[in-house]
Amino acid sequence: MLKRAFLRIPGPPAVRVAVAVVVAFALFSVVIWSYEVLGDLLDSGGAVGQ
Amino acid sequence: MRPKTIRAIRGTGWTFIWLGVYLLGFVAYQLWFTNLLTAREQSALAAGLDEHFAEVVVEEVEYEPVIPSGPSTTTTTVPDTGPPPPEPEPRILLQEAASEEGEAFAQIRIPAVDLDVTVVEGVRRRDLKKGPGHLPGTPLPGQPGNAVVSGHRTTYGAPFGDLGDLAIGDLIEVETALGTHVYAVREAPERCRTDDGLCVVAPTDLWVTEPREGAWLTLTTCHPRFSSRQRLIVFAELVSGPNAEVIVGA
Repeated sequence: MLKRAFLRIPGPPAVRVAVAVVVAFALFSVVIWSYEVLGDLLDSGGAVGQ
Repeated sequence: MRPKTIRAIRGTGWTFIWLGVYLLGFVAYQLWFTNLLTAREQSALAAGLDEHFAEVVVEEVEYEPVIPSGPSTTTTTVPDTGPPPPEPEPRILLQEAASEEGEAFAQIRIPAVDLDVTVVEGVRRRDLKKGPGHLPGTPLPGQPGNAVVSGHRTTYGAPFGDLGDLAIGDLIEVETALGTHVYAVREAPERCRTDDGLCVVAPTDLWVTEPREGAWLTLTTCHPRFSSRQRLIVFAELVSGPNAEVIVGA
């Protein structure tokens, strides 16, 4: 599935790799951000009135 | 089976697989990776704490004891003549300069729950990722009033994970540039006391941070475990330390 998505990226291989790296980094950032937001529901640090 | 149906089943399968990967990642991130981050931060903070103790400015200030307000019930007669009564000796309090937000300034030890962590100034999200944080605007530990320190209970090293296990009388030591201040856990106030003797409040209950007569340390964390719905509060009173004699006459 990932290979198919990679091959769908237009352009020469170098451009494809560059686009794939950017997309992967963006996805990773979104995932970590969502972990932080969900994590606040588990434990927000315990401060009062913040 | 038709190709369309096969594609739908395959798509559903992949969705659940990725959802599972996402959730596994979430659990690993919260319960393992955040602990690693905090452990690394704590090592760096602890290494720099002695340097902070050596560099921080400590000054002597006159201590003005808090006098409870309210109508007086006694009447004293002051003679018209004679020399005025001697001025009482000024009581001198040691005071340290406040740190910048995010900087380490104290070490907190609670032998009863095997806790020994470095405390930073501030309670912003990035401060509390490093360790327990002191609420700005409240006095520093060892000073008169109500020093408030907050910390994670489940993630980021869970420094206050066992706060609910503390019993009345358990000792809390806070080492600052002034020395070691020792507090004893006190009974939860009636207004927040649960059946098991804990103090549980809403995250917006600011009264727990209000100034108090004497010298107090208030520890706050999330409650119950794995939820930030409420706050667990532990109140402790200064019993010994560099300023204890001046503040509480210990």
